[in-house]
Amino acid sequence: MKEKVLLVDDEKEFLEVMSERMANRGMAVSTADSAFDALEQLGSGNFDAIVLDLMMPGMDGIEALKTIKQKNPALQVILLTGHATVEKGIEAMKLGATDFVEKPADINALAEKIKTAKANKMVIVEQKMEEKLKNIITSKGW
Amino acid sequence: MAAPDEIGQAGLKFFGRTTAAFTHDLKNALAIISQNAGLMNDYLLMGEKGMPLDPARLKTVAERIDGQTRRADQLIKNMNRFAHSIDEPVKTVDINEMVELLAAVSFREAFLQRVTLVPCPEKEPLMVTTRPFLLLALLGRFLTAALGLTAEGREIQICVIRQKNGGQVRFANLGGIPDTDKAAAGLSQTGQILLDALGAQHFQDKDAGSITITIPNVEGA
Repeated sequence: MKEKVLLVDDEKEFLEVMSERMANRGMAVSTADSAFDALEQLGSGNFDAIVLDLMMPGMDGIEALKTIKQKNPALQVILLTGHATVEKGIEAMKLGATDFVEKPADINALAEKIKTAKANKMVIVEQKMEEKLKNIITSKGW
Repeated sequence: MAAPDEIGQAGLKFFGRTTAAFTHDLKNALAIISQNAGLMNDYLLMGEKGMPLDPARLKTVAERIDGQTRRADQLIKNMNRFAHSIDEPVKTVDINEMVELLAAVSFREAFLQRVTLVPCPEKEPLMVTTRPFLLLALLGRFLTAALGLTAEGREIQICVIRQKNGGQVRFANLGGIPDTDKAAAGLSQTGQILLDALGAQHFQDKDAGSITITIPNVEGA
């Protein structure tokens, strides 16, 4: 099954070329040119992973990451940056980012990270389902 | 007058911040070029597997690479002009060109706040003997303050005004200047250090929504 990815960056040409390359590698790609647009799409998207630029006008990647994790903790977020510092990387991981990648990203390495992100998401979703089932069984006294 | 070290620190801060913004934009341009080169490679690999090459797509890729290369070249030109502003401590410069350079080096800062910078030069060159790099650092500080007062989606006009001795740079079309917020109006300690080093003064017009910096000719050219 195709990985469903939301790609978020304020550089439109970057979005165009990356989304085409990712689609060539079998992914279903949606794009957003701002964090606000991305948050709107999350409501209806059911994405496996979000690839999110760090520096954007309006809401930046870190603020967007916080909001995304509040709304949907299972969602896997890969942060993309022009300047990956140790401090930013640690901050991002503490906030729940799945990975932190420096531009220009190697497309095949990014595709692997997205596959891993999807697998992580499925594990989290399955765990939640198990918990739900356990609660139902316990509450019904079966 | 502040100690040379304090002036140096103020200048270094501005230099570091400006260089970081340049390199960020340059990296973005390079990332787009790199990915488009990769996309061309993807097309060639698909071609080797028997898929026909689409000339229109190749043309789009080539145009993107060309456009981003020009962007990177302009960024480097601006960076070079900025770096050379420190060549001579005192120099006679065209304030119109200084304002144009200020708008170029501050583009990223303004873009992140979704504000457009519009230089309004004097019709003729306005030559002033000043300290070019410190002037840029001072104007950069006031521009940061002006951005803090301006709502998203608006324009800040950076106007050059001729004076008998020297000139003025006015940041206009601002949202309104709070009475008590001196820090936002640029009068921080660092701002004052730079004003003193240039013999410059500033005043705000709350009703008009503008901040004006008066730049006299300095001695020592």
